[in-house]
Amino acid sequence: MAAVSFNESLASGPGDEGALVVELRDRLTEATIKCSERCLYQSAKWAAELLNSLPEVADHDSPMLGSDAPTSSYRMLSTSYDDPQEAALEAREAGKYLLAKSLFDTKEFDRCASVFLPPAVPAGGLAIFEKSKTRTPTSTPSKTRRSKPSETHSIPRLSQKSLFLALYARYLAGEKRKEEEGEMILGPTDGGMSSNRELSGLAKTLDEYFRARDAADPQIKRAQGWLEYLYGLILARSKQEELAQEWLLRAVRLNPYHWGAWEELSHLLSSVDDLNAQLSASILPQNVMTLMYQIHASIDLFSTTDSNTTITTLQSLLEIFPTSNFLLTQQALFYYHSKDFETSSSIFQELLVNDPYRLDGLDHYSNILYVMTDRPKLAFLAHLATSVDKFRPETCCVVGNYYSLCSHHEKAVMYFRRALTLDRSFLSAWTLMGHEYIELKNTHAAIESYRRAVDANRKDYRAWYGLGQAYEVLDMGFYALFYYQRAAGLRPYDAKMWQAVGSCYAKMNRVEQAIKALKRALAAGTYYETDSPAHSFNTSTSGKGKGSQARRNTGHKLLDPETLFHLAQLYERIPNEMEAARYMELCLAQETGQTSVAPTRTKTRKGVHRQNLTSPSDPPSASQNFEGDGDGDTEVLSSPSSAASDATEEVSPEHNTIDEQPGSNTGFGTGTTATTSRARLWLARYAFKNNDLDRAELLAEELCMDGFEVEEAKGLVREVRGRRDAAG
Amino acid sequence: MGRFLTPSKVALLALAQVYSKGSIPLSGTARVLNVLISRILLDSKESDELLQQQAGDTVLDLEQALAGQASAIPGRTVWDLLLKALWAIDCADALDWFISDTPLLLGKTRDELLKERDEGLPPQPAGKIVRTSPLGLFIRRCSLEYLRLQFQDSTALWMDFIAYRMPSKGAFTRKNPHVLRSAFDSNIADLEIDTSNTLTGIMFRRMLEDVDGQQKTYSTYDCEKLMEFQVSEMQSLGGRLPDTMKTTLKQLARLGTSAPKLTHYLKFLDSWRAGDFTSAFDNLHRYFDYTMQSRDRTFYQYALLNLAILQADFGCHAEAIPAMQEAIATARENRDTICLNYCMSWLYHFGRAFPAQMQSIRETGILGNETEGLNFLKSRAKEAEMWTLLSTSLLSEAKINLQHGESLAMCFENIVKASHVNVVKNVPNCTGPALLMKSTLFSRIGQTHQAYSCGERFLLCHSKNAPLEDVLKCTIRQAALLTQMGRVSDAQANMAKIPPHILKVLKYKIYHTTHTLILRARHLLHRNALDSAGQIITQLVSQQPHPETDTSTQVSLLEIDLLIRRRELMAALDRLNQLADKAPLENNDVSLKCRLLTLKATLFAKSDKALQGFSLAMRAVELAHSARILPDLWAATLALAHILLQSYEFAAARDLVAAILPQALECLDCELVGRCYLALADSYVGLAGLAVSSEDGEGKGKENGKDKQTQKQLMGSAVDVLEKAGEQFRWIQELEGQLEALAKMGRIWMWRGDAAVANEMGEKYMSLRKEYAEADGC
Repeated sequence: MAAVSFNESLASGPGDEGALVVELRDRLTEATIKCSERCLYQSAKWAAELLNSLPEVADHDSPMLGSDAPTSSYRMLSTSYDDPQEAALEAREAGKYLLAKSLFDTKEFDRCASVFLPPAVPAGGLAIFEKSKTRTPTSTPSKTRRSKPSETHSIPRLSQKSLFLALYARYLAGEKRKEEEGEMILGPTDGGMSSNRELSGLAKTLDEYFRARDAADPQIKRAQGWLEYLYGLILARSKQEELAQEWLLRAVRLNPYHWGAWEELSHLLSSVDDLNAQLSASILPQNVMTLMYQIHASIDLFSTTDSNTTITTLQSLLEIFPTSNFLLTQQALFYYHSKDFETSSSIFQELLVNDPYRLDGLDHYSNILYVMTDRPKLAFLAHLATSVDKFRPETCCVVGNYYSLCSHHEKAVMYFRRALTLDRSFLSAWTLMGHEYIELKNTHAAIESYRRAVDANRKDYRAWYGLGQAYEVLDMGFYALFYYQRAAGLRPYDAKMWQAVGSCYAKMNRVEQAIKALKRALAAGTYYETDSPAHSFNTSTSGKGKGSQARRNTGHKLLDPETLFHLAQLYERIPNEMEAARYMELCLAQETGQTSVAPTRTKTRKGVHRQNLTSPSDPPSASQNFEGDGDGDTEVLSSPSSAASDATEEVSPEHNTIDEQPGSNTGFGTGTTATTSRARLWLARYAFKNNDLDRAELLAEELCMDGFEVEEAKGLVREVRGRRDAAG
Repeated sequence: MGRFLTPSKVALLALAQVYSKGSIPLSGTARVLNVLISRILLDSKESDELLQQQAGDTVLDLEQALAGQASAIPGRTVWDLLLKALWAIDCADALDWFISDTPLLLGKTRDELLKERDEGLPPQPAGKIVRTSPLGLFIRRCSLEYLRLQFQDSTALWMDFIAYRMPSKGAFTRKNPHVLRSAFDSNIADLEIDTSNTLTGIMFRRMLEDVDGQQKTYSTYDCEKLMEFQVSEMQSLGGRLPDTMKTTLKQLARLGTSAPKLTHYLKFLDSWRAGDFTSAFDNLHRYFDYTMQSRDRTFYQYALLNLAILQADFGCHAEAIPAMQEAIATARENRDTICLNYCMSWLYHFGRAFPAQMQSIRETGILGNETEGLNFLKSRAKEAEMWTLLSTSLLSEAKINLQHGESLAMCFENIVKASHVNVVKNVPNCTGPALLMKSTLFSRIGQTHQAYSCGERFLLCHSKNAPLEDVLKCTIRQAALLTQMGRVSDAQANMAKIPPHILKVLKYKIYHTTHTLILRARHLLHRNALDSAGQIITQLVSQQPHPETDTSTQVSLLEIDLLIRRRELMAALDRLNQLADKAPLENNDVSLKCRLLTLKATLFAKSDKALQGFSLAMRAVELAHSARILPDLWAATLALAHILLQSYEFAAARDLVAAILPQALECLDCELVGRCYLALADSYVGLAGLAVSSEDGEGKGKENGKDKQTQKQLMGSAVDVLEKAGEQFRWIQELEGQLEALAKMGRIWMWRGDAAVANEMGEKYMSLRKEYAEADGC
């Protein structure tokens, strides 16, 4: 498919598989070396991991490999082999570079920066100084240091590598200071307000630099992409996202194998639409990295509309990199987001066995195990992670999840805090800590945690949902509604979100909207194979485990009786008793699983799904398409009598067998639950009111048999008989 | 190292679970509960070894304890059920469940019961174990401690648990062949990897490091308990660290975990007992440096107390006394009565042992004079309910009474009081010393058999709880008594029998060696091996001053004895005078005074100036009589008899000796009895001489028949008595005495004209002498 064509375009020679691998190996080697030269450790690690997941070169290639070896080592010595001017500069400052690099490695960032950019000769030059003096009177110490005037083009003649290292070190020094200002997690000074004070200075320096360079080199022939990445990063941190995206795109075009840039780019995406816009505008380079980016971004966005593309892309990438941990993790995450926990956890388990020292992504695995309420495995995972390194944020998250599952919420909070102390930008810990605070009834702390999570990443629907929940606890409906809507916007096919929105509306007496939302929830509920509201949200609400367990076992399309009951109640409030009665009937029908629409609906649903997938380039229309379809669905649901026209024929034999053997129906329906009993009671009363005494009596007697609401039912039976006597 | 929880405690929880499920028949309940409780209640100081094993109980120890105990389920023993419970814990999470669920075994609290009653709820099922029972407390503590564990600690517990139950794997799989999936973690079995995988390598790194598998796991709690026990043992008994404890400490050090601070104190005690002054000093300071922060300055007095005792023990008396004075001042300041009483008591005993050093103390008048000090201590001990101190104070009072030669009734009263306190207040470690005191008392009033039996009782019944020093002293006393009775080999065996752990303490080792040498020297003196004895005595003298004044006195007496035997009477007299001058300063014991007087009188008698010693002997007799020191009284009386003999008052001498002989025999002192017999023989011979000398001096002319008859009779009794004397001397291998008796008998036989017998005696004399010389020559 598309991936193959990319591969072909990537391999400059003939589309030979071996040549492709060799090419990839070369590029990845180069990327690894260059990244580690620039102290971009994570990107270097990523590239190296990917490099090692390439299949071994076959034996007949060995002479070729031999001839390759010297070239790669040559590149290792001088990374700017294709640019003599840069190479000369690099050679000149080799000693200084080594010093700076070792200083960087020992985490002396300021000193590292000062090797190339001595404070006396500031990199930004006079222009920045003068501007900053007039504009911002509160000049930072780093700025005052640079207060000595010098000539305008003050950036010393440096190679791009050294300049990058120096500026990056300065950026990191600023980040470090920022973190130090925060002190304790959620302490008085940790408001998430403190910013990196180096940012503006760095931005100006780079701005200056690029302006000068663009003037000198309009074709951007000598650009390497690293400084562009840094500029993009800095812009992103100073919340200039449009510009940041532009520069990052420039960076990835120049240097596609730098994963950090891609990752940064994906952070800037706020929705699937953004991603699709990027993809469709063909501003991205055409190579394997774009595919990686695409799957990473779409998984990160919990996108479900284009899941087929994602999975096929993933498969084709896995053919190239058969053992890539990154890709396997992405695959597992993909299954996780589409609620296929079994597959996802089995992939993670495999990863665990293959590389037990790797902790990356294990926090996701622990989330999966949490949702599956698999305590033994979670304990095992926590044990393993603790043995590898107990002071990694991932480990702390795993342990925190474990304790949360054991209902030791204080301990869980402690571990999440530890995770955050280790890495403040560790997103999932913020969210999970929020959940724990909810459990501990500390709503304010929960709100703060969620807010921090959302600030760090606006795409985390769980944090949004959590915020909504917290505000709901505080009886602040409008706020709650806002957050629930955000969550629902991120997860349009998650029934739980819509239910929350619906209940919020209902509380605010906006019944019409509530009904709409709940209908969405019903439609979304049938969308996933084994949906359970608890899955999308992993706080340990009581009874959640059991519910999901039961639901998973049935594996059948069932409408959620709770939602149906709520809907009916809402209709009653309008008042629209007819509709209410219909929904009550439907709710009752879930007992035996005789949702007549279920099998047919799946078919149509799948059809729609496929339809969606065929047009991934046009997401708005797709979602519209779906919405329309969804409305249709709910229409069908709202008038079951008409829907039954095609369905009753199909289901009626089944229905009969169920009637004959009431014991066997548990495999299909939910069985008699409190909710369905309440629906039954309602229906009985309704029938009674409408003088349908026989049905009322039948329903009430059923209730007595089931053992729910017995007193009420008996009373009803008595009343029915009383009226009959009166009539007869 | 965990704070409290160890795998063995988890196993105990499992056993508690088995117990509470009612799967133990009534007959076995007591045994199972015994197993449980003896392992839970570490405070109940049953015995050393139980505690030792307690800290690192292996699963096999538990098996042994439960061996063969049948359960209520036919065909299954309690051990089987326990194994099943243990192996049911197949992963870390199962352990978590297990421990978190244990509180369900407990009964309901009062509040819960009340709530249930008030709200009329149907009674919820609950466990049967009462919350406040020892077992209930244990279960509650375990679950609480588990809750407090950090994650990595609970993982560590899990891994320790795997290692702990591993030895029982065979037993479990024999009974349940197909149940077990993985001996480590069921999750590993789920992953379908074996233990050689890297993953398991990472997870169970801890266990792989412990290659020998012998490592036991300790919790800080166990360690502290163990060390507290050890410290209290060492403090009350005065011994050193046993070897098992040493290995335990080494293991702890190897585990690299933070051992409790008490380790330093243990090391201090140990190196102190080992005589390693510098290490002891170092460790003491280290201990108090580390504990200063956790406890505060209120512990300063204990630091000083320990320091003072340490310094005194290493002979730095000048340093020790000011330290102790400061300790007393600090204790007073902090109102720490217990510490103050300890200090006072120590100071008192120190003053008893080294009166010369106590000048300054006596001047400041902290304690007043001896009796005042004792009364003070007694009242304080009673107030503070320090029964050990009260008991020892009473015994000290008895001792003073003895030394001052006061009323015997008082002594007995004090001893009985002390025994009363021991029994009523359960002070087992003072029972032995009370017996020892009683033994001394009995030997003073000449009831040697009683004294001996008291000593035996001590060693047989109470030596376990008594301070090691007292055990050692008692053993040596017993040996001395045995020597006196003439059971020399028994005495030597007794000395060799002393348990080695006592001799590990340097101080006791020296004490023991000195006394062995003293006994040996005395023995050699008896055998007339003067050169060897001389050598030993020179050695002993060169070690003066001995830490105990008593020992020094004994050595001096030996020296004098040697000089006398060498017939260097002048030197002996000088030495004697020196000793007599020094004695009141160091040791104002009446008994010693009496003995010195007697000895001096004997010396005069030996140098044929018997009359010069008459007043000395009279004084000795008077002194011994008033103080009721009967052995000394008989010795003094004997000296008097010698003087009478020399002044030809044979009849008086005979009457005197005949009067004391029965009591002397009671004393079981062979030498004394032998000498009495010799004196009696002399008096008989003298009387026989007198019977004829009234007419014809020494000539053996024509006496009348009656006189002859009397003479012959007297000579006959003399021979009888001499034989008896010889017998007594033979028992204690006293060569000189035996020879004297033989020579005298030979003379009598000669006088009787029976040359053959006389000759025989002569031969015996020669052969005996040769025999002894040969035996000692070898």
